[in-house]
Amino acid sequence: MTHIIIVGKMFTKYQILGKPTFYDTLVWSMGKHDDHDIIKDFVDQWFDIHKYPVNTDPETILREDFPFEECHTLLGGRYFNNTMSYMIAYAILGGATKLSFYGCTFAFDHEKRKDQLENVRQLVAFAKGRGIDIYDFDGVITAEYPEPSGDKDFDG
Amino acid sequence: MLVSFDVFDTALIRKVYKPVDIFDLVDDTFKQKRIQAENLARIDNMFYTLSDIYKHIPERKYKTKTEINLEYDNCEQNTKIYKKYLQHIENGDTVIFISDMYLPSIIIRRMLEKCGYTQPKVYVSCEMGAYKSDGSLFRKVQEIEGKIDIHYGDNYQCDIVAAMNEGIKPIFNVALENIKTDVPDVNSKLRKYLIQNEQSVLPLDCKIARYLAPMVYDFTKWILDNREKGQKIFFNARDGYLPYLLAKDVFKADNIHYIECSRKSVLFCSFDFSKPIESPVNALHFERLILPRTGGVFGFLESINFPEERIKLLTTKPKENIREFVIRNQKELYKYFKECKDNALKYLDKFNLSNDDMIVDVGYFGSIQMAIEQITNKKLNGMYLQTFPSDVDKFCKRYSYFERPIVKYCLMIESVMSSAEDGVYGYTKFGEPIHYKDNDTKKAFSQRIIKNVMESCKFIHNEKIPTNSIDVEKLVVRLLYYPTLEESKYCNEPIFENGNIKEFESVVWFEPDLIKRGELQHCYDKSYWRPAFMVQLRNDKELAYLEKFIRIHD
Repeated sequence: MTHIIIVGKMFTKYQILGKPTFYDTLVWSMGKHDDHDIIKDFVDQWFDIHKYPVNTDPETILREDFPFEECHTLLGGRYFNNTMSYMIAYAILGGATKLSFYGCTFAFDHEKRKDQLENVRQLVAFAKGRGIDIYDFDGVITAEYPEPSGDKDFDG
Repeated sequence: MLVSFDVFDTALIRKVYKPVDIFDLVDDTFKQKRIQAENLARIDNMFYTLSDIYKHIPERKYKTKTEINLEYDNCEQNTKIYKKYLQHIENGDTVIFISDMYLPSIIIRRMLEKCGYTQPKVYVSCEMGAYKSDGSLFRKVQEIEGKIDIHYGDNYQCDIVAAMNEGIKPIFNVALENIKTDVPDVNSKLRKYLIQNEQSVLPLDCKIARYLAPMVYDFTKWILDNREKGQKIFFNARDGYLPYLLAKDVFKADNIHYIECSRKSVLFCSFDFSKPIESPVNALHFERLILPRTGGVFGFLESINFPEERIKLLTTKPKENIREFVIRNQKELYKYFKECKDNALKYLDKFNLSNDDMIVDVGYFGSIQMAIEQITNKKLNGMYLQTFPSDVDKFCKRYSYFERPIVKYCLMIESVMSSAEDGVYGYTKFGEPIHYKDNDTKKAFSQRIIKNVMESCKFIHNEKIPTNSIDVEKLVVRLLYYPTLEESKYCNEPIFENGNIKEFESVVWFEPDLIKRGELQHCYDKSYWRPAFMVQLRNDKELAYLEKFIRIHD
């Protein structure tokens, strides 16, 4: 039973303060945060799989160490466009039974962010389909689509 | 209106007494290193952050995460300030938080949210590059937010004087560590709890109960820690009641029992009936039997509940003292005592006492333990809050929580330990306890005490507030020997039975009416808490000068 907490860069990441953690809970995050000096101690495993990594902490999983092929095999193709999606796949490969997300609001600071959010939602749905529990503090990744729009072709 | 609150010791308080005491929660050596590191960080950069501090702590085992988690876990809402906060919110005021602090605002926000402050806006010195003390932080915040109308804070220079100089109305909220206190220097969490109790508006008896709760808690813990496998523990009424409740409800101990044995119910059961009552082997019990407070032969017979219908079988002589009366009526008295012993044994047999079981009581000379051992023919381990040396030590194993004889003013301590039940004075032929009716005022008093002690002990247990015999001794010595004027008025009503169930006494015996009638020495001699008596005397404008007339002989 492994619980992986994925912490994004938004301020709600500090909601993990005060949350009980057990021996089988790990906190993961990516890249380098603005308040890296503070957050780094809270994170058990850092990922920086960009071509030009910015996180120089030792034991960070870098591009050359990351099992990209296994992740592609898991999903049956290259269905990834961002680090967090790969981290979800990595967690599934590692046998995670629960995934939690904090500080993941996917504020649209650039064009690609919307696509990245959709990709993360796909991976989360994939994880759910495999029976993994999902908890999303910010409610953005797991947000449902709105009520049927009144389009009679869709609504029937 | 725009209202600002300081954060630490204003909007939030910590569970420790002084801010730096939080470092003691890491380990024994961290505090010194941490304070030194902060001093060094301050030299490098006057607007230092937490990370700057940890650069000066070389040991990798110490992480910012530990300190942040400790601050988070040990912060709680300052309810007094929170009420003000809510009032301002209700009035439609804008509320912000301003702090001279090395923690980032993001962390402080989480702490404030945890304590009920909604979506707090926080300005902190390490991020703003300014401090409150010279007014610069206030000025920077006002550039962003507009004119601050009121600022709440605990630091006189930084929150009050500096705010006033910036044209902001300051409201002073004194931090707990700066409040004058009579609580001695005990461990930080305990000290904080006791000072909050001291500052509370609870009635005096409730405050005293809470002040002494650590003593009851640690005494119970000491008993359970010293228990060996298989030992049953017998808590003796009525002073063993609170430790029994604690052992059962808080420590969840098993194989514990509550027994009712008093001097009245067992002392005269334990004579060696094969020897004369005045013989050396019976000396201990004989002397206790004829203690002078019973007053006269019929008072003595009443105190041992001698059946009225059998009094005619006894003979008296004029002007005979109790000793002579008892020796002359030994035969009838022994007959009665043997019946009492049989009944007491029927009662005690129900508990299946074994050798080496523990018996718990408040103290002091072990006569009840010895009596029980003689009745049941079992050897017990007596666990007492306080023991005084006595001849009983030749026969019984006794252990004292307090290593030094400090519980000199016993009734004062017993007022906190005692149950709210009636006392036992004997047993029926079926081995059922027979009770005398204690007065209702005293019972109501005891119920309040028990409620407050239990609430405090549960709090101490749940919050893991450390207790130890050294701190407890400091607390007890301070209260017993150096009570405040307020404390000295505790138990000054005559509601306590101390050997005679028909006459009630107070603990302090400070009776101005009696003193004015010439009974100053009598009241002092009768007082079960003489330091309290003296405090009240010295503070009485009319009677203070009489102190020189008191003959002090203890």
